[in-house]
Amino acid sequence: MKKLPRRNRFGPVDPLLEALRLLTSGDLYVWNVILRSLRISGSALVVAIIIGLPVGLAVGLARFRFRLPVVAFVNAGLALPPVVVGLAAFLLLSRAGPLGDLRLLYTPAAMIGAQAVIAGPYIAAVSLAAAQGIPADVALQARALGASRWQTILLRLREIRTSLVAAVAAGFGAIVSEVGAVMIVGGNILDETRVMTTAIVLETRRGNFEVAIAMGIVLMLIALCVNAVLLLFARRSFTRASAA
Amino acid sequence: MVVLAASACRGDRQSIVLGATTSAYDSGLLEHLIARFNEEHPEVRVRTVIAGSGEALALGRDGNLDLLLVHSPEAEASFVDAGHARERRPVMYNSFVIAGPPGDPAGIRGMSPAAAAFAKIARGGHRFVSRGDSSGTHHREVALWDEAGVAARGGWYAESGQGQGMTLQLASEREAYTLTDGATLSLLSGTVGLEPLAGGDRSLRNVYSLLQPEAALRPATAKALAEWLVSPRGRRAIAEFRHRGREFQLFWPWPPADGAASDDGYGPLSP
Repeated sequence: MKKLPRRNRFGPVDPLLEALRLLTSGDLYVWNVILRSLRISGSALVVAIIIGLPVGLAVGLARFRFRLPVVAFVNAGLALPPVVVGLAAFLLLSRAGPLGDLRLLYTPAAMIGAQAVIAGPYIAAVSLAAAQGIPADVALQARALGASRWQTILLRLREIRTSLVAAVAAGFGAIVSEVGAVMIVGGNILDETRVMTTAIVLETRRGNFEVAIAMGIVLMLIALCVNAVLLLFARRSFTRASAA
Repeated sequence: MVVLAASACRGDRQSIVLGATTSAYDSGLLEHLIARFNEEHPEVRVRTVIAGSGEALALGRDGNLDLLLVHSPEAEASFVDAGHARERRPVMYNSFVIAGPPGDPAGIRGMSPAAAAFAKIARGGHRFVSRGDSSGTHHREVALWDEAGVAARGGWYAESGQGQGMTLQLASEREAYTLTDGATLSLLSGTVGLEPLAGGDRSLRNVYSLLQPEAALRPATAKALAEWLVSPRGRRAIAEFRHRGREFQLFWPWPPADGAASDDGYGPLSP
């Protein structure tokens, strides 16, 4: 078997240097894609928080019949494969689909919707678990000390805020690095719906490794930051727990 | 969501969604053509979705795309027959190429017709990577196996299910043969360890056509782009396109300018 001459094929060093040059020189294409990624996933995260947090807290704090199936349902959302969410969103939003008249396919709004569905269960499930985990005596003590119903709830939220930050970080990490759903519903349109993950797929296919690597570096930095946030808060809540 | 939806719709009047195959997009051809088109029609925004021919036709049938640039003549014909588009308009062409490892273990270099080369690859059990994605290239590959009288199954035959670029990278890693459009092979020539081994005969002609789906949302704007692409200025823009500073031509306007090969014109073997 004949080996390819090294210099003639993709060696990792040159594209890596070129990628760093692209990032530091503020290359418009690369940075526009990166910022669009953050904007879309950030918006999706806000939607996921607005819906997921109240649902998670309500189910976690309330006591009602059929609570267990509801808890199971929220947790099952964590296992939703993103690409299936993308497929479902596509079928809904396609002009032949039930919501086709909204004309949302291949728009950032469709991507935000799909990513919110992916991130929502993260927020809901973690806030649910955290709300359940609040010791009942905290609320009892607060009530005994004359706190109102809302003050009690706020107090309970304070107790679990570290878990909530972790949930938000994990949700963001999951959607910003997701490729299947955004490719299907966004269409990877230049200047509109092209985000880091879909751009990496495209530029690798095109042989533009330096552009793909540049975005890969940023994506990994984001993942690192997310993990740092997770670790930081996990440790803080641990030290607090042991102090208590 | 409502605000976003409204803002997404606002630009609709002058923007169209073009569905195009990976080979036309990845080479940079479409960006070049759209830039030229916008010099004359700055008010039109062309949004490109990349999809293999099979996927593009399905998306067009359902009204998600306004104009299709595809290269799968039989599938296009049945699309028109089914009433999803009024006509297919050939716009440009090049050649499919059988690419393989430089060592050419099956010994097909320069072979013609292509089906004979396919038969030889299968007989020797040499590795072959197929797109396997109902793209125009995949359709042609299946037709060639048919013509060669070979059942493309077995350990030597793999389906990538991916676009042309990824499939070439996969074939290169496996030192396998594959069928590709000449343009994508040319633009990845520095990256993949594959060489064009056979191409240029009539059975490898690769014609790209424009189709306007009946279900399209913005037919007038789509028609303007289609008309421009087949006009003398569009033809010139296709012929002058070069990939990132390289000197060779990747696509030829249809029909060939000299008229000599207008009936069975095929793209020259790309380097």
